[in-house]
Amino acid sequence: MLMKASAVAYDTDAQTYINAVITAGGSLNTTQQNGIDRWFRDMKGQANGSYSTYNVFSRIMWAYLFTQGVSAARDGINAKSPGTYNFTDTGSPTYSSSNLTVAYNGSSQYSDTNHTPNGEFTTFANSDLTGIGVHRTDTNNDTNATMGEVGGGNTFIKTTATFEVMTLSGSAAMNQAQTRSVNRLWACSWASSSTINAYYNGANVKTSSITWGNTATRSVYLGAFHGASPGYGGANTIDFAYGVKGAWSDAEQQMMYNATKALKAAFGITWS
Amino acid sequence: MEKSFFIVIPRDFAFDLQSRESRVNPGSLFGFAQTIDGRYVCSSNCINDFPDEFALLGQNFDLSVITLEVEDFPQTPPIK
Repeated sequence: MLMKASAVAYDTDAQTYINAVITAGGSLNTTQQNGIDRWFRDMKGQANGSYSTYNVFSRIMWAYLFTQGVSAARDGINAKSPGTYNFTDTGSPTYSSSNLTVAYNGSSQYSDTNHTPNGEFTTFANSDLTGIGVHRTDTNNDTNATMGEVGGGNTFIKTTATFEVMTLSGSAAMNQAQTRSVNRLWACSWASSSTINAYYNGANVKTSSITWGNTATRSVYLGAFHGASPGYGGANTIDFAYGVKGAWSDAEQQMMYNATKALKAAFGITWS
Repeated sequence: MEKSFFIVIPRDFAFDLQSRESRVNPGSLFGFAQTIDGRYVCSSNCINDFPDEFALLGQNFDLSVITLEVEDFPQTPPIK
């Protein structure tokens, strides 16, 4: 008896993202498309035998997967909602199609998420930015923030091999000496209106009981921070960044690391 | 310290092109910086994103590529 082959049906949002990348001139082989589909399914809490998954998709504002390493037109596409909060580059940062990264020189280059959060006095429940994260692939020590914004509720990340600062909504998620490698996934998010957490490769490294601050008021930059003028903290190279809203648990942040690490593996990129 | 390549450009050129979108690389906007010693510079990558503009500039201005370090630029005030 002949078996009728069934067509592969990707998650609809995964297919939308894949189509957007290809329309922008990108290329994705079957393994890579499968990896993208798996990431979207992970974000929707569909079962994955390798790690726990949770339905966080509706609470993602923007996620840049860097599947091409070519340009803002291809890598700046917002995986959550292509066409909304796609990032734009200023100063022509350097892309690498072999490493699937973008490198910022720390003096004249940055990307703008074009997401201006919804107001300084917005409550936690209504805020559309309660967490940010970025995966660095370089090891340079920041002299100032290399991601985020300063205006209303300061929201930024600054990392060195000896000190780290992650501030979110005007509140310090982390501000301490450490000896962790810079080239990892750094993130901070609110678990509630009174708890803020800092994460390193998906693991909670600090929990603080702080009353919700203010929502950021300037669009979040990558590679620099958005002040009255662009602020620079040194050269940095990234291959993933995300911004979220709502309450995020430790398990959900761990999943974000696990899922994106698996996605990168589908592209031949190994995260530590 | 790590160095990057920059093109020295005239002040008027820098401000005229500021935030202009590349025609060859959509989504890429022109950006520049000013060094501590007052020179206006942009990343050497910009010549790829704005070939027509630099070709026109090059007709009347000698373009030079130099290397600069982070220390050659004004330090951004620390944020907390």
